[in-house]
Amino acid sequence: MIVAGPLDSLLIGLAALASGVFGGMLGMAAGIFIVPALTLAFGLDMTHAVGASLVSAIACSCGSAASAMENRLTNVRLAVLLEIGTTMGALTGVALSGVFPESALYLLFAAILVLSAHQMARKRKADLSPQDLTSPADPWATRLRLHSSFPDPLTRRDVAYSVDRVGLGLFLMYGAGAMSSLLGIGSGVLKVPAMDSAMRLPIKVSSATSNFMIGVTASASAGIYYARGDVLPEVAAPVALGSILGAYLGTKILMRTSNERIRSLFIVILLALAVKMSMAAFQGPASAPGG
Amino acid sequence: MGPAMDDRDRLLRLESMLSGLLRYGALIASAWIAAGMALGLHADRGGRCAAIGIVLLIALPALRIALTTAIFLIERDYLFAAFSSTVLAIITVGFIAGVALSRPARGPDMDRLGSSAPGGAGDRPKSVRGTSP
Repeated sequence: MIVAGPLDSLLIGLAALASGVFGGMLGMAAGIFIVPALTLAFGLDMTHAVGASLVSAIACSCGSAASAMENRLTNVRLAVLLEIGTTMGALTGVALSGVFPESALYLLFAAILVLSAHQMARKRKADLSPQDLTSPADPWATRLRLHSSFPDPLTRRDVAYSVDRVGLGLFLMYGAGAMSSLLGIGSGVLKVPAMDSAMRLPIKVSSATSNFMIGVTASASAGIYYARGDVLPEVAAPVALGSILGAYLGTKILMRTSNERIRSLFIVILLALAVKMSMAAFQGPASAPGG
Repeated sequence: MGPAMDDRDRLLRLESMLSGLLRYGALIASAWIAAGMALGLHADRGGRCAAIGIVLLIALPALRIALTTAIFLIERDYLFAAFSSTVLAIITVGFIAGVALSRPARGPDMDRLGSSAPGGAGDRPKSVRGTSP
């Protein structure tokens, strides 16, 4: 589709706003909804959708990373180390995006959507069981002084935690960075479990640190997309603005509603999008109206 | 306890600087994008404003990493200064590779903007590209 006028930009902005609200309510990045919206509803190329979505991932990450840092949840030293993995992954992903056929990207995206739905279903249990933070630490993490502490809002005391398996973490971050640049998602869906289960970080710390890294990771690939001319201002501008606004509204709404019902609703939405994306892989997104 | 508190204080200062950069940087970039949309993205001026905002957003995390490197250097934490400058180098290499690999023939400007806004809108992204670091 050619983005012909202000009306299209407005519609794209509204779609991004809705994606941002969804993402903010779920505590996940908007990209997972933006790319399907741009490709399926607006008939945009995968490349251009990914380019716009990466810019919005940076925008959302900057806003939420700032408040997470003020709550002292982010492990900045660990983030800097792991960013070596995510940015190298991002470059690899961009290099691979020319190799993969577009249909493979649609299938990959569908797989990530299913993974997100699965994680959302599992999250309920994880919220209840406290984590064991006194796990054995990686000697490398000790040498690099990666262990830290975070303030527990309930007890108002600092909880110390140690970092395990730094090498495995770096490797997993490389993969997450590649996915991020291939699909235009923040790929918190891959980073957070990697940090939770491989590096044994507290859940709050892993999501804050993941969010902090998303900006740099997306910047590495968005820079290339922009340099290649694949970030279209008339798409990226409304997407960035809409998703920032939406994410802000989404977190506000989240505080007022019970999220049990919302979660099950969004699991269905994510799975439906996965079906649509895999159908598009075989038929092409051109079946969309106006495409 | 003394050295530990000192460590924490420095860390807190570092984090408040970084969070300020992220928050206000994102705000300024969004303002440019909003201005661009208000002026109309297909108009020459509006498109340019939006492009400035987008470039700012893309550059913001790179700026953050540059600031992180500086802070690590001030703290004489040379290993972590090396880590963060590696990240900065990877981002820069990617951007340069992207510029080098961009195929001018495949520029999206022509087929996209051909129907709208005649007169100078086509070379808009290139003129803005110069402002990015």
